[in-house]
Amino acid sequence: MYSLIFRRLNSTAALPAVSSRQLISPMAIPALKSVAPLPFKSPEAKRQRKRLLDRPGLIGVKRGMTQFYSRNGDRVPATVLEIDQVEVVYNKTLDKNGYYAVQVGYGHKLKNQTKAMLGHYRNAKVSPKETLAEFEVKDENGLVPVGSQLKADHFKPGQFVDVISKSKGKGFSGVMKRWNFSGLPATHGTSLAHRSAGSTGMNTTPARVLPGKKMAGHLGDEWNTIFNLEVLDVNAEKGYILVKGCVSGSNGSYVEIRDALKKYGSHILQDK
Amino acid sequence: MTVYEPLPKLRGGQPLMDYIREAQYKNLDPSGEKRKLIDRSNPERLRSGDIVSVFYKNQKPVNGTIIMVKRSGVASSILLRNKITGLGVEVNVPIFNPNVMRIDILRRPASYRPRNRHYYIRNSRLDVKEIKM
Repeated sequence: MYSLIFRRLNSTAALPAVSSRQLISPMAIPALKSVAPLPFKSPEAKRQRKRLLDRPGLIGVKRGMTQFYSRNGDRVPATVLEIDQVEVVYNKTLDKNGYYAVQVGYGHKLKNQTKAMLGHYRNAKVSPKETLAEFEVKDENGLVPVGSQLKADHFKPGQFVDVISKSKGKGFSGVMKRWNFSGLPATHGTSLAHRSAGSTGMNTTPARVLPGKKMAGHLGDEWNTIFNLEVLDVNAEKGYILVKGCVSGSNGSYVEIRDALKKYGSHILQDK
Repeated sequence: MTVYEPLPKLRGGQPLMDYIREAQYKNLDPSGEKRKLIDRSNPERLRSGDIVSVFYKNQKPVNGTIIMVKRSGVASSILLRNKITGLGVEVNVPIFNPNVMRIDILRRPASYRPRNRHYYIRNSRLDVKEIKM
């Protein structure tokens, strides 16, 4: 108890900004400057809560499926992803953009390029690209020099990757196809409503359809991530990688390939 | 506006799936014997109704009557059916599997049935007979 009082007196006397004429209670607690915590919803706080990877991924094109024989003769289904003319176009940094990311481009396309985009490619000293994708990385060590080429040997056989692509569009679909509803009975008086959804809610209470009710609507043509696909084979010279299993989208669609986030990703906050 | 030249295309612009198919055949079937077995232009090809013996690298040979030949590149396979103590037994043999060493035709039928897939003979009076070696 004595020691506490003594420290308070001492600290008041040691305040540098206070002039000697000022009268300050010896029991006053000096002002302490503390760092304001980040607002929970601020972009920086969100970034620190995210699971991020150490290095960027690649853009590929889905070319089709085949099968692959492992060493012990097991047959496994494999998807062929082409990696050709992949270059780094831009690096995003914390100071300028609020996060670290690598912008990667695929292929070569001159038609229908705007002047703004042509200037963007000229600054990077790369040819105009067919498509661009952005891969967020944890810190500046993950950035890749602009204009450098990324090849298929970015990944190694045996490691796991995530493949992000757009699924095939199915148009306006009913509830049986879109949400796996059972439909209405085939007989017992069902009339022209065999594939219908049935009831969508209650009567007077609540007298409305609750938000989020599963109904008919547009199906497919949305971004889909397939996590943890094993890399079976890599060939940088011929420009392809084989991953085990299927990938969303039709042949010829662009896919983003990155290290498996759930296996190799980590948080900024936990590192500190 | 300055436009930079693109990087050279890999494989000289050859379609990737064509290259993969060639590379897989080269790896799994360097002599071309297995491809000949299912080639439609080959009169000595495997057909449904043939009685064959499949020799493996690491297990005993398997005998049976072919009831299906599936042609799909390196995923091609044949379905063998046999009777063992009166019980029907079927084995699917992926012919490009590196463990399959060779496939010998033991006997051909006097006349072939008019279909490639003989699923309908299962458990009927047309079913395959037990192969006696």
